[in-house]
Amino acid sequence: MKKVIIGPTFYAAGQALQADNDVLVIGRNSSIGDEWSYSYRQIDSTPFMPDSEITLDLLTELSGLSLTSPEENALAVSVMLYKFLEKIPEKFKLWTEIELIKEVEDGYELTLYTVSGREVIQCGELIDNTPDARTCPDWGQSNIQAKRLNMVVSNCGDDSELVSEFSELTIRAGRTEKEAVVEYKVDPKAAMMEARKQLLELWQQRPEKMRNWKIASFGAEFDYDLSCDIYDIQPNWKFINPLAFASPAAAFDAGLTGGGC
Amino acid sequence: MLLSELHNGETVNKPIANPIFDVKCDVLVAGLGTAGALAAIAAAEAGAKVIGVERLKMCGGTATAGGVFGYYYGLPGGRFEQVDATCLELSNEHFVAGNNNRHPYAKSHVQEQAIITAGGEIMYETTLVGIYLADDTIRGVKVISSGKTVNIACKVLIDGSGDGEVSAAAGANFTLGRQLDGQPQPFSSIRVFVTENQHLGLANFDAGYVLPNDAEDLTRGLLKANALHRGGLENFGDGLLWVTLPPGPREGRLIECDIRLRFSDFINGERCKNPITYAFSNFDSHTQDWAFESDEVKDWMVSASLWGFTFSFPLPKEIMYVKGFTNLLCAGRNISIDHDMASAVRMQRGLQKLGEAAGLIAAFASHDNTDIRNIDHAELVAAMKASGALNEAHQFKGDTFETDPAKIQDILASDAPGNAIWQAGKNLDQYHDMLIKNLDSDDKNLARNSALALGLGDDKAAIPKLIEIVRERDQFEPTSSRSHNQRRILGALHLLGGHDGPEAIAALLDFIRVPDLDMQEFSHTLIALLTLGDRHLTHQAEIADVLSECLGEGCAEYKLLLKNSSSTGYRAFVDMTKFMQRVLKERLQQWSNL
Repeated sequence: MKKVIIGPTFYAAGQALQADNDVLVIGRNSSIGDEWSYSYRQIDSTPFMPDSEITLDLLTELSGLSLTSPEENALAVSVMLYKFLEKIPEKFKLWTEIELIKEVEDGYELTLYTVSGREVIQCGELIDNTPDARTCPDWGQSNIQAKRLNMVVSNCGDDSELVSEFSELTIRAGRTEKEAVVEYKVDPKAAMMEARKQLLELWQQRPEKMRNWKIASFGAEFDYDLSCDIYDIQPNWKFINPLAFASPAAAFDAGLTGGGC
Repeated sequence: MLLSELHNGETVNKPIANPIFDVKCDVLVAGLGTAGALAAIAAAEAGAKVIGVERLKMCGGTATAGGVFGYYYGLPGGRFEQVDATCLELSNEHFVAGNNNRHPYAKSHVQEQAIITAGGEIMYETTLVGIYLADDTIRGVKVISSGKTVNIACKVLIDGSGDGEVSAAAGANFTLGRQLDGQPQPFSSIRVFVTENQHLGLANFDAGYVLPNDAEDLTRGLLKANALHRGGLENFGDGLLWVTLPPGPREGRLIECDIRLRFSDFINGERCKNPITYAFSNFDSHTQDWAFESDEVKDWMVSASLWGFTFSFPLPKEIMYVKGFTNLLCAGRNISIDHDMASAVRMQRGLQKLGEAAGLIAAFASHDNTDIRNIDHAELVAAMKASGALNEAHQFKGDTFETDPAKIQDILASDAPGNAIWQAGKNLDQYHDMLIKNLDSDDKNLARNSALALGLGDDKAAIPKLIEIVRERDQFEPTSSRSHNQRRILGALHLLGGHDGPEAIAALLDFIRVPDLDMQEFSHTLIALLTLGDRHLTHQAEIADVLSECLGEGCAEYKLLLKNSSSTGYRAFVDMTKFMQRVLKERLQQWSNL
């Protein structure tokens, strides 16, 4: 019976591409891989040897482009991924809200809300692949070791310096010399609007020598460090940490090959 | 009380005992997008207790999360100008902007703060799933907010969902897409990136057709659209920040309200007398397969090539009053217009003004505990004028039609004849004799453009010259508009379909058998013949035979290149052969049933 994965992550995309996998991937957003692409999470730059031919093809094609640091560019990886995913639209349901999950005789009944309205589906196995465990939010909250709102900043002047830390912010290198990523650690319960406001206010107070480093984008998703990578929520309903991999490509490869995290 | 919901596309009502509301407000704005954010600001600043619910995690919709941070037409004035001014200051100082752009996150922040400062509340990651109804009055809504169900009581509900899903859930009537196949305009995908010179850049292109109220079709379209960003990735990939966070339909459900604005009203010169603001644009339709659009649109876009003609259009408040409900307003591109008008009344400035008006109306109605229809129109107009959203001078903005016969004669003879073709064709009583005389002119442009004008005016005298244009396969492309000019032959093919007469049928049947027709030539001829067949029962069999042969097994492949799609590095095409085969099959079935 069908497996449902909640969270259209890189790992879930790999699972969907497994030919014999009867899987449906459900997500609130309109894109795949947001847990990396839109959290601006740091990617491990250690060379990665994938187990799957598909991942190898993807990385080979990506490295053929003249990007500065292709494998550390989660958005570029996700954009490349769609050439596979557009061929299997039946395995995805995007822009979809989960209204209710109910245990039934052979598994679980999910009430979804899409642009067509309410729809009820059933599955034998349920995987919560959202970083904050959307289907089990109280446990998900307790599983958070650290929660960050990251933002991409760009050097809009030639003479601007950048320090690695100031105030409550940590700053690391971005994809190019002109880019950096600012990390702001927030309370596990912090909401996006308030976190964004605080981060903006902190950045407005940046040292004068950093005035030309300006905000290119806030993360649309939070970045997390989690305690537990796999957790049984109920029988045949488990949480898998989509961020328990060194990179988006590694997550995708693990999904494809059925590897763990 | 009833709980009204959408179930697999259908509205379902079920009786419900008095629900327990977790929160109460005066005005609930469902969808804090282009119009919704301004509605929430205006309502809160007018003293209403406002709750805004938004599916995403930011305000502003298409202008922010959607990445379209520049304006296309629209007119200045209104509460949004203050938002923009603050946003610009913030952007210039702290955001990657360049060229005085308003950074999307700066705009969202300014809108959030405006709502909160005025006492409003924002619930992000919240989706409306049901509506509590007592007869024709909405009592509240049911939402899923961060995984939890919340019931919110409200006095007035504003549907700020661009696709009208809130009004649809309430049971409002709506239309979707064009008459022939129910297809809305192609949808767009947008990416935002930092350019090499550290400016904020955006690129948008049409990615295909999607039914925005069909969950499966939407997912299919999104995956395909996102894949198209691979084109040219090496040029922008280092600076890529995001690909549109909300899906990018340009047109969704168009809700039925007390008044519906139609394209036919526009071209007939009908204008509302009590506007609350003005829209200003050209008809920026992203359609490229014009043959399948309405006859009025083809007259304007194809025969006269008036795509770029700009105009101001007065908007009454009643295009937001959802029919059948005392306290439901729609604000955004879901307002009550027809498919043709949807290409002109969706621009951000105009929608922000409508949002402001919706917020004010809702605040006034909730304050007086009355039907939205009972608010004081004069008070609304005064408030809109005070903010600059209503400026009567705006009615005179836009291009005008030439009326001087001598000048019309010159324009008809020029390479940019559209203005005169339209003016003369739609006012034959004034220009008929001149046009008839022009048909015999040695000046090819003058003679043939005059035939197009006579054709627009349904004058049979045009037929021989229109047939001549077709037989010679006249590929003259005018320069009437800054873009999207249509070849003369396409205008002639369209107009012949509207004229009775066996000679037109014979000419079109000959033409459609020419082996190397392009998609536009073929599709216009197909529709012209089907239109003629509808009226000439004795010719149906002949038309059916020829068209069945032309679209039969092994026929030519016709593909449609979508707007701006070549800018992605990949050119996005739609397979039109199968579509036209389906159109033919359905029409032949109708003829057979008759």
